[in-house]
Amino acid sequence: MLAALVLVPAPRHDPVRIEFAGGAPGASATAGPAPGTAPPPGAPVPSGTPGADLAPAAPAGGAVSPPARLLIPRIGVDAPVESGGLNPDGTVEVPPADRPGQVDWYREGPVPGRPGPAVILGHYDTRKGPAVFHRLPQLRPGDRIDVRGRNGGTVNFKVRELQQFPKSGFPTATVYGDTAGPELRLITCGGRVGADGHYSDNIIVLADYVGTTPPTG
Amino acid sequence: MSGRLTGRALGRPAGLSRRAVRLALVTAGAAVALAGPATAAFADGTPTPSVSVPASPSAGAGSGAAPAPAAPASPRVAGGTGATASPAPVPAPATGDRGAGAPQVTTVPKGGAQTGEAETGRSTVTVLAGSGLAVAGVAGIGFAVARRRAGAQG
Repeated sequence: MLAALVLVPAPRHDPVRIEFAGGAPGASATAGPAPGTAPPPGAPVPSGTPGADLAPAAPAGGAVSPPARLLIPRIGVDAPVESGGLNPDGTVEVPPADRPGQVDWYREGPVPGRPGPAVILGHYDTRKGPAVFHRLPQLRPGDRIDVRGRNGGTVNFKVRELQQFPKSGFPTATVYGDTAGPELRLITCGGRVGADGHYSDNIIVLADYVGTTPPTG
Repeated sequence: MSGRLTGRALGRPAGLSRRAVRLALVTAGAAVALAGPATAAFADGTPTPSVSVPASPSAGAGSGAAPAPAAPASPRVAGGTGATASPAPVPAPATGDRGAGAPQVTTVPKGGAQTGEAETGRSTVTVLAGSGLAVAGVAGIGFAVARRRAGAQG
């Protein structure tokens, strides 16, 4: 009995999958690497988002500014936004593990609301429990995402689709490639948990620009 | 008390048996103490992410646009959900623009993002130590029982 008590199975993690994969060909819960992905870092990347050339939204005006908060009403996210860059090994920085409620805007890309793919990253969980993007896989096309700028203005986006890829086949062109208008990408983890505690996949939310609420006052 | 009387009556070494039982219980207790923290590792009271549920989640869900923008003075979500989507078709040069012809993303990161780190369970050292203590505890109890039975028979 004592042995059974001590050797009780360790916590198991079900694979994290997006709940609704739709909106464009290639989007699936277990999508593989997209064709033509992973250009070398620093290289110009082509416009990679399927449908990016469809009905490009009008660029935001002067109301946009670096992001301060991210709001996703459907999944109850109201999170502070900090800026992040690159790690020494060339990978993208993510929020510190001791700040599970924070998201990072990739500052080497455009400000949300400017033409191009603005990228915001957040943890799915940490060793202490669920984090800010724990419910991101539950988003669906049409869900609203608001990015509030430091000047008080808000840029509004609408989810177009969710994609899930193994980290080894990360769709760099889809995420960081040039776009016709302002777009937003939210990135978190998904898939299976490895022995090191890290996940096998990334879940990517692609969102289209809807409009801008200028700052008041 | 009764154990001592029984031991004396049976003429076996009661002190040895009690020591064995004590040793077994102490070992078993240590094993349980080792197992305890690992079992509760993921339920340490910090599972709640710092996200907030808006007061009226349906207010801003979907793509419907409210024509009257409310003042987003408060940093809470209420202001953001109430005010939306007045199209802003006026492009204007501003900070953050990278100029015509420049890539929209100046430096492309390598690979994916490490945006998750799950609890993988107790460490190997903890498991081995706990298992060893549990085995020792069981062996101690078995030894004590065997001694007691041997004393009862002889």
